[in-house]
Amino acid sequence: MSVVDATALTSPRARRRVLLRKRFLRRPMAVVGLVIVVVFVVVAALAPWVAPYSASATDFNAILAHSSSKHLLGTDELGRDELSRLIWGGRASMQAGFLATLLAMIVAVPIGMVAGYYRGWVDTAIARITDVLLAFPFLILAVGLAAILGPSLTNATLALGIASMPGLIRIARGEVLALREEDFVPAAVANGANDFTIIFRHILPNMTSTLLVQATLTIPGAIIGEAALSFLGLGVQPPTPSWGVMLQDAQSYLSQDSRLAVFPGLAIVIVSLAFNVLGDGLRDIFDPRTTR
Amino acid sequence: MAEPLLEVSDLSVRFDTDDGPVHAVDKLSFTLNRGEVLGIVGESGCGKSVTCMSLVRLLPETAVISGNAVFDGVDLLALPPKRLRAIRGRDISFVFQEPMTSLNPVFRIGHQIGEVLTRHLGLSRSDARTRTIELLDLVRIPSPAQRIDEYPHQLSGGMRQRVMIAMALACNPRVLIADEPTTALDVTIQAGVLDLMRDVRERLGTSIVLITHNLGVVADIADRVVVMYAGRKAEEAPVGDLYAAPQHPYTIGLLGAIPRPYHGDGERPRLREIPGRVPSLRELPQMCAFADRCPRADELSRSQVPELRFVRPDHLVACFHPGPE
Amino acid sequence: MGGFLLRKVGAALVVLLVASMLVFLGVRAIPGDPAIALGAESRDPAVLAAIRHKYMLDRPLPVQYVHWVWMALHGDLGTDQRDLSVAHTIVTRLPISLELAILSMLLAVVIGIPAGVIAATRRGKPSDYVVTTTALVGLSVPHFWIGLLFIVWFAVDLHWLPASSYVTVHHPIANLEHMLMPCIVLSVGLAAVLMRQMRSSMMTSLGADYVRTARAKGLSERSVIWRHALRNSLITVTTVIGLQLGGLISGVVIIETIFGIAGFGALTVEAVNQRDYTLIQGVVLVAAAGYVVVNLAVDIVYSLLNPRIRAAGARS
Repeated sequence: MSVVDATALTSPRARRRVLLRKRFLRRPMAVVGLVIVVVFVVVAALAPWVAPYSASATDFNAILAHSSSKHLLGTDELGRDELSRLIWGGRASMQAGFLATLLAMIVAVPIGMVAGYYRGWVDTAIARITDVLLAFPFLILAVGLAAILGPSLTNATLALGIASMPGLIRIARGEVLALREEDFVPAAVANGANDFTIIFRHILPNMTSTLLVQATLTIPGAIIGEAALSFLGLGVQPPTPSWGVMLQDAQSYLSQDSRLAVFPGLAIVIVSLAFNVLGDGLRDIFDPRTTR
Repeated sequence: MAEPLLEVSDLSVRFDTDDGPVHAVDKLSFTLNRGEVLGIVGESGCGKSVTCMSLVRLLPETAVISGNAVFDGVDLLALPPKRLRAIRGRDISFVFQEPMTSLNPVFRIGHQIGEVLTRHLGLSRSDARTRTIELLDLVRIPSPAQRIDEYPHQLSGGMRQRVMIAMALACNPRVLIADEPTTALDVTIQAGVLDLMRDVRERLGTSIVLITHNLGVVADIADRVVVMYAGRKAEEAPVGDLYAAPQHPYTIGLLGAIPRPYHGDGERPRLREIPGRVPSLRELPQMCAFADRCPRADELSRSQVPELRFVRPDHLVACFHPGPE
Repeated sequence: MGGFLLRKVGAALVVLLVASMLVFLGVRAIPGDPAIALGAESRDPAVLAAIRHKYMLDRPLPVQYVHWVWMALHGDLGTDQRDLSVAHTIVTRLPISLELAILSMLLAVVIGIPAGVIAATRRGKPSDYVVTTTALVGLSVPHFWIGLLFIVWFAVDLHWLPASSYVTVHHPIANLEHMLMPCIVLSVGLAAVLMRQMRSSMMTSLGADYVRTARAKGLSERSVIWRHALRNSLITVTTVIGLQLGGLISGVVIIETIFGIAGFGALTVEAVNQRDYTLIQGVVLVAAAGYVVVNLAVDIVYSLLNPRIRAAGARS
């Protein structure tokens, strides 16, 4: 008779978490991505305390100055500190990215799940709705919203959120289509569960990894989108900074000092790369087929 | 006795994976004579498919192959890729297990068969088409002139398998290697395909290597049988001898595990299973691979690898305690 | 195949209908008197009365809608603030954007698809890393930023290429000179997506049983990759291209603005900045309708490529 070692008994869920963490740590790129994302998010959240100057503090004695001890990245055409504007701008841009994605997930995932679960005419109707959404690319949507409600960060976020929905609807639908064939569904039905419970209490938890990956990969698109909209004047309105607004300002001074165009763009690239690399890494570790 | 068509000696296949090596085949040797049907049987994972695929190097890059495989005076394992490709599909051809996925869904079946003809025999489009219709007829596909322009998804499983056979026979190969050709098919369709293969051997004189885990199929069509276990050969004999007087405990166990109908006379036979599991292929055990599951195992079997020995003139066994039950 | 296409056309019509309704309602949703919005903000009662009459603003909404659609189908999208025919403006500026979009798409396909195939076949080797990294960066870069940088480097600093504006196709070389940078910039994102998609799709195809069969038949490696595997992967990639068209439209708007190209995209931005609601309405409608039509074309291509749909007579 052998003695069972109680400390060795871990739940399957805990074991899986350990396995995922190990896999993640074996991917240096993904780890770097996570670190960068966290750094950017924290700096943006703590902007009021981290930024050396406010976003609108002008200094007409130091217009378009190069980097110095007073202004680490120099100043812009109105003498505002570039680094601070970058930090405050990042706050607006990333906020738009996160909120747009959150909005898209909250609306699109249930819709997609319903389409995948019930199929039939519900599925067809939702497919048509998705097609209609697709017919309005985010820029056209933003144009429309700006026309009706006036341009603002809120409207830009709304447009970006709506534009991100079709993809998420499709993914959620695909997941549910596969998961509804699993054995736990008839088991739940046999236990008297109603549709709502099956969808949200049984199927949804099995989709979380896919949804997490998708959200991580949707955010950079939303950030770039916000930059584009603000650049065109359809999003954040100057003088409030966002990376897109800063690029718009920089455009007029391109020939004089291209430095102003480089920093906001670089910030966007770094954050987007980080999210994409992180998302790819997450997708890898959740995929049962990968071996490491 | 004529020279064997294919002579495999000391074939070993090792897969170098991220988690370490996997020894799929360990020093296997066998021969294939002209015009004969050789059956290779064993359970899943015993290395039978890997053996045959290694002959024409259809294995992934992680496979390390050693040994010799002399086909018509040439060692296949030492051939450069270009010459090997000339042999594949022309002198040695394959039929795989899954007819559903083994045909390319985007090309018509006539095109897929014609490809072999164009590539190896240099036939023109129209000649290839004529020959393809002949081949479809040979494998007993009805209305071949219409079917030739259809896509795989328009055919049933049994018909797709026949198309695979037609494709394999296109250039009149010397050897046809059929890897579990009937496993994915219904029993009634199975019989038809086996019939066809028997026909092929008779009419065209093609030598066939039939890989399967189904002993009934082997009894039906094979001349000689090789029984494999854990990457090694356990027993080899003409089919009649093997079924009448199996010597290796594994073979005996396999035959005993076949369900037989009870006719109400005498004691009802019990379905015997072989206890235990197939050993991991990550190490090469220096003992009899079957020892852990064998009722006859002893100190000797657990300390040495049994060599193949002749129990009768054409009956080989790798066992320290061969013999009937 | 007929059934498939019929369904797709039907779906497209439904989508067009709903989209047009949304556009129509959108303009009516503008706070304030629609007559003022549609009439260049003039307050002259006579002008307002004329506008009310023209757009039937006194009638119930459904009637207005039908009338509007009727006019649109006859090519009349109203007049803008400067009293120019909206339809005419759009028609003149659309071909420019189409040229930009088509050239960019071509460039993206020519670069993206082969790169993806090569990355899949040389998996794990240096060329694979180069392709995957390039694709990753391409996805993460805002194309308008690249556009700005290109303008600074190539036009302003090096004077290699013109910085802005457009030259008609009647002068092909100058035309291409002007289009080169915008096309490259616009194709980056799409090429990146195609590279990744193609790589992933090819890896699946190359692992399929029918590829093993092709090799067992003794076909050359080139034939196995570029005919057997690629043909299957192209099918999935076609659907991806369809989904990227929206991004292409958005991209056209931004790139035209940066490079000073007076095309349909730039028109969109001008319309918003000038609060020209008739123009906005026409532009959004045309954009949505254009998308639906092009998407339908992609569906047709897909049905031609996929034999399961093309030869739907199944005897199995």
